[in-house]
Amino acid sequence: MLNRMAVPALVLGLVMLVLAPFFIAAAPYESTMGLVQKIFYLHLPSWIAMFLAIFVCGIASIRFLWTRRESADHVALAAAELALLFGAIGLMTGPMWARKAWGVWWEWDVRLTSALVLWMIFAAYGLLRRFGGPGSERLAAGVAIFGMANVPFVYWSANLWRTMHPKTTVLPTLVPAMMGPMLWCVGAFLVLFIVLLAARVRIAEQESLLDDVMRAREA
Amino acid sequence: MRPVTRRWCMRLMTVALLAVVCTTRPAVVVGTTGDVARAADVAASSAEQPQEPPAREEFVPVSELPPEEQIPAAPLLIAGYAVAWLVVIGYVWRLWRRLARVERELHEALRAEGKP
Repeated sequence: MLNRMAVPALVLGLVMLVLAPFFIAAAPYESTMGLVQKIFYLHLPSWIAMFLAIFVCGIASIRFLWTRRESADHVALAAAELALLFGAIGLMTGPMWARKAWGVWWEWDVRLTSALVLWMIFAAYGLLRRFGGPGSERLAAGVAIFGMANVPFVYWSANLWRTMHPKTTVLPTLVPAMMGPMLWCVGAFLVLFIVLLAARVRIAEQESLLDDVMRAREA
Repeated sequence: MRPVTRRWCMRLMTVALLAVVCTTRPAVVVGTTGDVARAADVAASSAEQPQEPPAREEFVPVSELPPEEQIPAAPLLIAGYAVAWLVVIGYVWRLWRRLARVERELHEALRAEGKP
């Protein structure tokens, strides 16, 4: 599946990302923030992709703990890496928007801090898998489930607590001229997410196979 | 520490605290001629300082801010897009190389085993 579909899908995702600025440039300016608000079209899709990656990682981790299937562990590992990737985009684009809109790069308010902590949970997952040694995959699966349980708190934090960050009700109120580019960017990030997930799972499978061959040779 | 000693320590600390309170309050409440003179100097110097503009109580759109308070948006926007692009392309490149390396190593290992 990866060989036949991966390259065209990867090209599709990258082309969508290349074309995105043209659609975004045609979108109307937001009345209070002006030009800098256009970071939103990359910022929000990156968080959507990160939350999706976290859910995939969490569900695959539950499946791994339940069935002990290696394939579920490969999916969890791949999705955790993508959660870090898309989270990094969100964490870096956010301060650039904030610098203009709020006058500060960062504010330790509940939404920003909880999002950073969520990203750090998956950084811990990655470190655990990298340096944890044998058996760390089960401990890491527990960390992933804990991270997934944090997502609703991060998502609703802007509505529940006092924060500078816009609430989640912004998205449904977008005018159609803004919603079009927004959906285009979400589509580009989702296509990239699927392709990169498939590629990363393939790497994990091949590495596992290589380990098996090496162990068989040593035995 | 013994209970008697602890009680005496507490009494000493209470007396010390009362002494501090008693010695500071009269200077503020009663004042002296020196204090009055210093207060007059402070009042005079504060009158000479320019008045700060009143704090804004309403939201001010970015377009209506004075030029010295405005931050250019274009560099931030370009930097945001550049970051996203670099992160994605860097990761794709890394995955591509890693996949090629693992498949090559696996192929060599299988060939050494005599498997296709």
